[in-house]
Amino acid sequence: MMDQTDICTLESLRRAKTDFHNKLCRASIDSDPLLLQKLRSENVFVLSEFFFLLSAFDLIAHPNKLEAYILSHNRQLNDLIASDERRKLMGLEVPRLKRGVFSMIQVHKAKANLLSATPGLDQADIQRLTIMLFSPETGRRVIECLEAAGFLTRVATPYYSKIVQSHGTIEKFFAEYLAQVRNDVPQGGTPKPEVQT
Amino acid sequence: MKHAIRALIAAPFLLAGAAQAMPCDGIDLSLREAVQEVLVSAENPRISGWARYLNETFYTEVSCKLSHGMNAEDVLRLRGEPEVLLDLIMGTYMTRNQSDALMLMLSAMKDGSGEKS
Repeated sequence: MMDQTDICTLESLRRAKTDFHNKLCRASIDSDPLLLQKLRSENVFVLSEFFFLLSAFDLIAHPNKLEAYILSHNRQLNDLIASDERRKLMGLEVPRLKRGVFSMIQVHKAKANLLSATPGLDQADIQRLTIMLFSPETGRRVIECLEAAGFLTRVATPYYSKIVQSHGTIEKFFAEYLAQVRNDVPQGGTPKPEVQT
Repeated sequence: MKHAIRALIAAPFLLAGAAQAMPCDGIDLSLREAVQEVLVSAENPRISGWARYLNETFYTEVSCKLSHGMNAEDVLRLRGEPEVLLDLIMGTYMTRNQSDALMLMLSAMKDGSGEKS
């Protein structure tokens, strides 16, 4: 038996996501087919969500907020490292999770980067913060892809780090994606209980 | 560790399924040698033993897939951490669902912003 609301909801989600990727491809400064193919990948969508949330929570503008975020991230990783069952459910391995844990020196450096002449997150910090999403190597690849398309800039510093600065386009497109889902999904359905993590 | 060893054992069987994956324009011999070196020099005798057992086809295929994001230098940095390399190799064959990790990320950012998660 077909539930029309379910079908409409599914269509809305799919349409909004397709539109998101189409916008990225149209706005790309390079129309190389391989780059456009990468811009349509799930990892690009996921990293866009990361940048959208950074902006939505205003974490880059406030070093103290960034610190609280990183410490919470560290706690999550340490909990997963200690919990065999949860880690297995997520399909993650201890060595990979350990690569995502910030030392206190790295936390201070991340905060200092926000106060520099070219404020932003170091690429290595982004790789650590997204370690549960993808490996650092994949993270770098997605960042490079978004840079090639003109959505991010990487600024090399004298300290051998690369500060990643977003131009705001991917955050804007992601917000539009969410607005489109919100507007298109039929109203009046019973909300599902929140998923506990 | 058990998972990593299972991954290594399963790797040759994954090759068939990977045949339709992105092709390589050319074989990066230095990358292939680096992958082989990291696995063969593993302290864990089960990993190093299997690494010696695996043939050139395996290393060529794995190097091809890793070459889209890594070079030989990147791989050699993982000397002493063969489990991490195995994790990366498995990641090139399977894309995991990221919803659970995205929920955790959202929760950590909420903590950072001072909102109750």
